Amino acid sequence: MSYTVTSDNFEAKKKGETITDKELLDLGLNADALVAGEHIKKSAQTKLATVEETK
Amino acid sequence: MARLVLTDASVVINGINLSEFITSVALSTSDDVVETTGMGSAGARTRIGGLADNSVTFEFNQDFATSGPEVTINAVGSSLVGTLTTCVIKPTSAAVGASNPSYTFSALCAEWQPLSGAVGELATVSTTWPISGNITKAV
Repeated sequence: MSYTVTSDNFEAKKKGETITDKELLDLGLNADALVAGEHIKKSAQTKLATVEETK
Repeated sequence: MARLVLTDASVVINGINLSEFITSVALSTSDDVVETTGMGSAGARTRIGGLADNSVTFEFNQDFATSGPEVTINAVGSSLVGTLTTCVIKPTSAAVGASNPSYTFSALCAEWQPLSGAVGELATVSTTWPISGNITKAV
């Protein structure tokens, strides 16, 4: 899971940059609270094509 | 060594810089005093230090808007209240160094006052959180 920074006050990254779950974990940050506070938002995940779709 | 008047202390809670809302910050540490007095202590009590007990007190100007204290600490759906959260404080917003150490710790958000103040006064929040574990000082 990755997130896009939407807050000007987020210290670890600048607004518009991406941060991953692992980076948040390493920093000891609570991702759910950051999402709920609209400091970061979940990035759209790329859907992997199934075998059938690639045929 | 220059004296310091606090005008630019840096307070980061759960990765969010809330310094502009902070009016006061106090980081406290104390050790339990464990008495070791025995016979032959020459008529005076003797003591050693026990467990450290750390806490932090913040005073905020409350702001319910985006990036303010309320949504950062007490957001709908996922509040930090009742949880451990990482905090970093510095005397100034400048880079960490010998004259501007950083203090990093995990605080238990044990209390929060979303609204406090009297008529005609600024809405503020005063909160004291116990710290879990040690405070890490970096220079």
